[in-house]
Amino acid sequence: MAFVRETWNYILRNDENEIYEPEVQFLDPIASNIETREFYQNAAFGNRPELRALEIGKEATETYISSMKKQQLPGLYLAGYINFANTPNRPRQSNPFIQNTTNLFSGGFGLTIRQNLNFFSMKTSLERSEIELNKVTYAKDAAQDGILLEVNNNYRTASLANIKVEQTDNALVTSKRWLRQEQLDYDFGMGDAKDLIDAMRKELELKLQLKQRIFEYNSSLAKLNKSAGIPLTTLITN
Amino acid sequence: MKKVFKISIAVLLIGFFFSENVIAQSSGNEIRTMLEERDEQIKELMGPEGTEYTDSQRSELKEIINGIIDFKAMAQEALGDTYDSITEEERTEFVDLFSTIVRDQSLNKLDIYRAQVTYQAVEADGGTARVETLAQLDNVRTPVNYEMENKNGEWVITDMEIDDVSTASSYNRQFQRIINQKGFESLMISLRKRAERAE
Repeated sequence: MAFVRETWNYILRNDENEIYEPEVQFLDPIASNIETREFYQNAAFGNRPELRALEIGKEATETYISSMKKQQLPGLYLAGYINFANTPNRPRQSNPFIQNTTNLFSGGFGLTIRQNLNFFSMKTSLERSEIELNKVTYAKDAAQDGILLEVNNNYRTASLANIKVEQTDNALVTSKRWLRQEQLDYDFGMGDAKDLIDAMRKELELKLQLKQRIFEYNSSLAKLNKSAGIPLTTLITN
Repeated sequence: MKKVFKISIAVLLIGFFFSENVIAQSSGNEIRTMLEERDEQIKELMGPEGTEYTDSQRSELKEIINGIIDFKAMAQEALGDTYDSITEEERTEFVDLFSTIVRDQSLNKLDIYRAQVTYQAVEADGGTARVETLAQLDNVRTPVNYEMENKNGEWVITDMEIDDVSTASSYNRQFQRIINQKGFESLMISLRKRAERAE
C-alpha cells in the first residue's frame, strides 16, 4: 500500500507536504451489467468514429461520381433579345425609311450546345473515382469486420471475467464459512490450529484473487465499451 | 350498479396495497431507528479508541449488544431438528448455554463496534424483516445483515450474517457434526465447558 501511495505521489508530482487521497477506497465490480452481444455490435456500428469517417468518405465519393457523370452531358444554352423604341410626337410613324434608336422594334435569339469532347479522359476519371468508391466500400467492410471481431473478443473476455468474479466470490463465501467453522471449533477446544491457519490463508488468498478478478472484469468491461464506442463515463456514472 | 361495485373493489384493492406498503415502510423505519439507537448507545459507551473497560462497562456493553437478540430462536435454528427431539429441561439448558457463549463471543473484538455502519436495505414483510448493512472500519468493509422477527410488538434479531456467513447456520453445522459423531450429550458437555470459560 505504501508503494502504491509513493507511486501515486510521484505521478501526481505533489509538493512535499501535499498528500492526495483517492476518492474511492474500495475496488468493487462495476454496477452495470453486461448487455447482449448484439447491443455492443450495434453500438459499435453506430458510434465508432472510423466507421463514420469511412461512411462520410463513401458519400463524398458517390457525390463526386454523380457530379462527374453530369459533366459528361452536353450543356444547352438559349439566349434571346428584344429591342423596342417609340417616339409618339413624331409625324409619320410608319415611314419605312426612318429607323433609328428612337423608333424601332427588333428581336433575335441564339442556341448554343457545349460538349466536352475529351471522352477518354472523362471515362478514366470516372473509373478512377469508381475505384476510389470501391476502395472506401471495401475499407468500410473490412473495418466493420475488424470491429465486429474486436467487439466479440472483448465481449467474450468480459463475460468470462464476469463469471470468474462470480465463481471466486462463491469460493470466497465457502472459504469464509470454513474459516468460521474452524474458529468455532478452535473456540470450543475441538479444532486444530493448523486447520484454522489453513482456513485463514485460503480466505486471504481468495480475497486477493477476488480483487484481481474484479480489476480484470472492470478493465474488460471498459475495453468492451471502448470497442463499442460507448463513452467510459457511462460506466462510471452507472 | 355494477360499475360502482367494480370501482369500490378497485379502491379497496388500491387502499389495501397502499396500506401494506405504508405498514412495511413504517416497520422498516422503526427497525432502522432501533438499530441506529443501539449503535449510538454502544459507541457512546465504548468511548474513544484505547479505552480500558471495567467489568460493569463490559457487562453493560454485552447487554446492549445482545439485548435485541432472540437467543431461543437462534438456538433452535442452530440445533435444527434435534431441538424437537430433546426434553424441555435440555432445551432450557441448551438455550441458556448457547446464549452465554454467543454473548461472550460478542465481546471478543470490541473494536468492530466502532465501525461506521451504512444501512443498505431494510425490508419488512409482515412479521419478519431483513436488514442489510455495511460496517466499515479502517478501510475494511464487512457486510452485516440481520434476520428479524416481530415478537409481541418488539423487533428481535433471530440470525446475523457477518461477512456473508450466517451465525445460526455456522453453529448448526458445528453442532450437527458433534451430534452425528458423538451424540447430543457430548455437545452439551462441550457447551458447558465453553460456557464455564465465559462466566
